[in-house]
Amino acid sequence: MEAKGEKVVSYTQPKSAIRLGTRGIPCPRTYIPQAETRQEDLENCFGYLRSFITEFKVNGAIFYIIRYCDTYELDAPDVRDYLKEQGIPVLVLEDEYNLATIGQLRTRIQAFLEMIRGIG
Amino acid sequence: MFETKAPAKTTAVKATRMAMKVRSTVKSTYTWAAQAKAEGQPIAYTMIDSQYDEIIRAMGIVPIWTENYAGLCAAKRDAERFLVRSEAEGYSNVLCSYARTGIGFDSLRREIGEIPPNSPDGGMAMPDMLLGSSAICDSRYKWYQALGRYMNIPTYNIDVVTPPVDADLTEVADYYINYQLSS
Repeated sequence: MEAKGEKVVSYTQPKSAIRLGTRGIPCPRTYIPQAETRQEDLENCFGYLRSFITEFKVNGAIFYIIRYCDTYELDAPDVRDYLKEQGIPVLVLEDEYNLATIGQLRTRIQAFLEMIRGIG
Repeated sequence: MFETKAPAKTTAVKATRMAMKVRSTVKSTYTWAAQAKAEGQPIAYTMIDSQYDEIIRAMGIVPIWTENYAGLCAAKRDAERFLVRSEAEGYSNVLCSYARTGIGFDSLRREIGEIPPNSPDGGMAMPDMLLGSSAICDSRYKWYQALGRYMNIPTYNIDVVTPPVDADLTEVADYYINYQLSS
């Protein structure tokens, strides 16, 4: 993305574990007790994303999942819906540590960026 | 005269006899839950090895084994519609098929307002609570949280800690039980 002139403001994947810890981002394996309503549950799980959106004036979000991390995978539809409710376009990408997919990823991210620019 | 000998009770014979009983046992599990639901008894979705079984039965709560239901759907060759549905909802096709079948079932029920037609063994009765567990795998820990998309009912997940493989289980038993019950 940065090669395309866009700025990446946050990572939540394990390879950025230091960022994850210092920014107070909960791992999806962390148990968050159920609240009164569904909306409160979503806020408790993903409310930190809302603060990023405001703080960094985010135009779009890529939910990038390293495959077979089931806890991230099971959060995907909820994260997507939560961000869409905030008016943020979302691209959910599933990947492995395999450079063979880099061309496909580049194409999908490029199309996503063009869509965001079109919206803006 | 030949004497007719009863077959020896080998492991294979016992297993075969047990297999004959499985079908009726499985069927009665879901029909029993449906009947209990109709009679107003509370129903819980739960999971094998979750440590709730004896406790909830003693409380008059009827368990529904959601993973087993996915296995039943697969055996009846009727899991496909539920798997496809959960993928359409955004759940990855590399996720556990037990979870995807269950999520797809509940997603469809939410949409049509009743148990999906012709579900194997009458389908799973609508639960009054979701009792999940982290034992065995992480998907189980998140599955019932994900079901919050389709039903707003009390949900609890117990985080089961497994003793190390080289632990002497008789030595850790008391400590372990105390720890789990207090967690």
